[in-house]
Amino acid sequence: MHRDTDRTSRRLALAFLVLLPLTATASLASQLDPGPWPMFHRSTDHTAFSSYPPPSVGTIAFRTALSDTVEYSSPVVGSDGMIYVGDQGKELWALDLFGNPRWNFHTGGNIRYSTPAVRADGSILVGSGDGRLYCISSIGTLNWTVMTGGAVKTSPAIAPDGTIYFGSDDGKLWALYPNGTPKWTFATQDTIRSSPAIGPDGTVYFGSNDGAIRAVTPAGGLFWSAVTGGAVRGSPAVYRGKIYVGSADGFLYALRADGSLEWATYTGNNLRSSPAIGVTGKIYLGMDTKLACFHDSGDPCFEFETGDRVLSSPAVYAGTDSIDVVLCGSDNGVLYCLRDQQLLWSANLGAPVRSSPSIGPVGFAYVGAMDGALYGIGVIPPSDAPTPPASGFARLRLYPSPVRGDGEVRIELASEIGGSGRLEIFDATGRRVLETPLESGNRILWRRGDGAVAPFSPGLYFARWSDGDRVVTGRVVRLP
Amino acid sequence: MRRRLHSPWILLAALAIAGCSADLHETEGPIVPFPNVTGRVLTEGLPAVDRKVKLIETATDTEIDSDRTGPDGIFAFTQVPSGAWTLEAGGTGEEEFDAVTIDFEISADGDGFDAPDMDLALRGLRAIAPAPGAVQPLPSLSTPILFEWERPDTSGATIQVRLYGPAGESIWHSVKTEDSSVRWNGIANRGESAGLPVPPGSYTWKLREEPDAGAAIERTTAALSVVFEEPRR
Repeated sequence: MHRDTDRTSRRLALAFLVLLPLTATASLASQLDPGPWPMFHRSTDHTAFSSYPPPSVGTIAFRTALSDTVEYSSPVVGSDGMIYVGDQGKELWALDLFGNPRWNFHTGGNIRYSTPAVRADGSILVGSGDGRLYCISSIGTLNWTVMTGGAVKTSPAIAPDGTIYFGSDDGKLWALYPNGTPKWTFATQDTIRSSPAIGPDGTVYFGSNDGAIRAVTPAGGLFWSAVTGGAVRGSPAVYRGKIYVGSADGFLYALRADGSLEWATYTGNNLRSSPAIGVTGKIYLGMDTKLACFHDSGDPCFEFETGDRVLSSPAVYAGTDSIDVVLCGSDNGVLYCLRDQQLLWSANLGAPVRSSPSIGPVGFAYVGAMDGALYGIGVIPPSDAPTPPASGFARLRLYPSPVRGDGEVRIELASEIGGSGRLEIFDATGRRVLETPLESGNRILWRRGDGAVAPFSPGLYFARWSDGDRVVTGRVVRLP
Repeated sequence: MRRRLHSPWILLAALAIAGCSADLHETEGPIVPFPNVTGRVLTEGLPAVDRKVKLIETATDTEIDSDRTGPDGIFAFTQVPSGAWTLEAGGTGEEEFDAVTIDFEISADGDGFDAPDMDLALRGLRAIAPAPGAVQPLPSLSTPILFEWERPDTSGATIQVRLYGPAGESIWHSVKTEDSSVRWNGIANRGESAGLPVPPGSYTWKLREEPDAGAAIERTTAALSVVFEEPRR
C-alpha cells in the first residue's frame, strides 16, 4: 500500500515535471507578441508609441491590392516579420514586410473595424462582422472562434495572463481564456466600437455607444463608470495613471485611475479618433479635418489642417530631442508625418486613409487605404526593389541569404555611395544585434563575436546603414 | 451703414395713398423703398397676428430693427444691407415656441431674402425632466443628470438642450439628437468655464429644435428653471 502510494506520487511528480514546461510554454505563447507593432495602437495601453523610427521620406515602397476596402482595420507587425490586416472582403491577410502576400483567411463577415492582435505563439486574433472573434494560426488555419451576439467591431487586447478582451455590437465586453473559452461578459447599454485598453494593474478601460467610459476589473466587475454626453467610439489610451479618450459630446477627457476628472477639453467636434501619446505626454488625435495635439494639461498645442476628415488614429515616435514624430492619415488620401507641427513628409495614397499607421522595423510604416490596398512607406532594400536601382544608387548586400545557424554573412556597401557611416542589424523584434562602422566599397563579415549579439535565432534580420543623411537597408534570413 | 430701418407698413400705406392719386407719374414725391426681407409667421399653419419679429445682426447678436406681423402674419423689413442676419419671431411660450429664428445672409446691398414660414406651434414638444424648479444633485461624471422631453410629431427633427447660468450666460449645449433624452455630466462647454465642472446654483434650460438637419431655422422653448445642489454625503 505504502509502496503503491510512493509509486503514485512518483508518477504524479513525473507527470508534473513533464507538464510543467508545457504549461509554462502555453502561458507564454498566449501572451501578446513582443513584435514591433503587434496590436491596435501597438500596446495594451494604446499609446501607439513606437520603439522604431518611422521612414524618413514618404516614398511608397509598395502597394499591395487586397480583396476589398481597408477601412479602420489597421496593419500590425509581428515578431515573425509578418504584417496582418483585415479588409471588407472578409479576409485576414498575412504579408511579409515588403508587402508580398503569404496567405489570407476568409471569415464570415467584413473586417471593417477590427485590427488584428498577434500572440507570442504566432496566432492572430481578429473580430469580424459575422459576430465572431477568430483565432488563426501563424500559417493561416483556423484555431478556434467565439460567437458573440453582434458584429465584432473592436480590436482585441491581450492581457499579460493571456486573457483576451474585446467588445461586440451585442453591447458586451467579452473576456476569453487564452484557448477561446468565455471567461465572463460585461453588458453595457449600447453597441461597443471602442477597443479595450489595459492598465498596469489589469483594469480594462473601454467606451460604449451608450456614452460611458468604463473601468472593469480583471474579474469582470465594474470599477467605475464615467458618463459623457455622446457615444464613445474612440479607444482609450492609458498613460502615467491617466485615461485619455474622446467622446461624441466634443470633449477630450483625461480621467484619473479612480474615474475622477483630471481635465476635460471641449473641442466642439465629434471625436472618433483614438488618442496616441507622445514621449512627453502630449496627446495626438484626429479632430474634424485636423490632426490635433494637446499638452498633458489639456491645453491645445497645435492643429494641423488636412482639408478632409481625420478618422485615422495617429502613431508616435520619439525623435531627437524628445520631439514627437507623428504619423496620421486623412480622408483626403494622404498619410502625413509631422515632427512637432512641421510637416516632415506626406505620401499621397489617393484614397481615404482611416486605418491607423503602424511603424515596423528598419524605418517602414504600414497603413491601409479605402482603395483596398496595403501600403508600405519607406525605402525598399535594393535587392527587393522591383526594378533595377538607378545608377549611383547605393546597395547594401547581405549574402548568403538564407544562411544556416550562426553561419557567416558577408555585408557589402557598394562603392558608388562614397562615404562612411554606421551599420546596424536588427532582429525582427527590433533588437539591435550588431552595430559597426562601415565604409562604402568595403565588406565585413557578420559572425559570432566581433561585438555581435549571439547566438543568432532563426528568422529575418534587417540591416540599416546610414551616414546621417542617407539610409540604405537590406535583409537576410537565418535558418535553424 | 443705416441701422434704423423703417417698418414697411407705414411705407406701404404711403405708397397705397400715393397710388390713389391720378397724377402719380407727374408727382415728385419721396422715393419709397420696397422691403427686401419678408416672411410670414404662423401657428398651427394659421397666420400669427401681431407677433413681434426682430431683425438681429448675427455677429453681434444686436437687435437692429423689429416689426409686428399683420393680419396675414406677414412681416417685412426694408433696406436691410449686406451681411449675416437673424430673424426672430416671438411666441407665447405656452403652446408655442418662445422663439423661432432663421439665419440668412444678404450678399450685396439691394439683394433680398424671402424667409420660409416660421411656425410657432410646439406640436406636442414638451419638456419632461427635470421638472420646472426641480432641485437636483449637482451632475458629475458618476451621477449625470438626464434631460428628457416628449416630441410626438416632429420626426426628422433634432433637439438640443441649452443650459444657462444664474446670470443668463450660456453654460452648456448638448449634442443634437433625434432621441428624447440626453445626459449631462456637469462639465461646461461654453464660455470661460468650458471644460470645468459647474458649481451649485440656479440654472435655466431650453429645448432647441431644428426641423431638419442643417436647416437654418431653429425653434426654442421657453426657459425652465433647475437648481443644482451639492450632493448629500
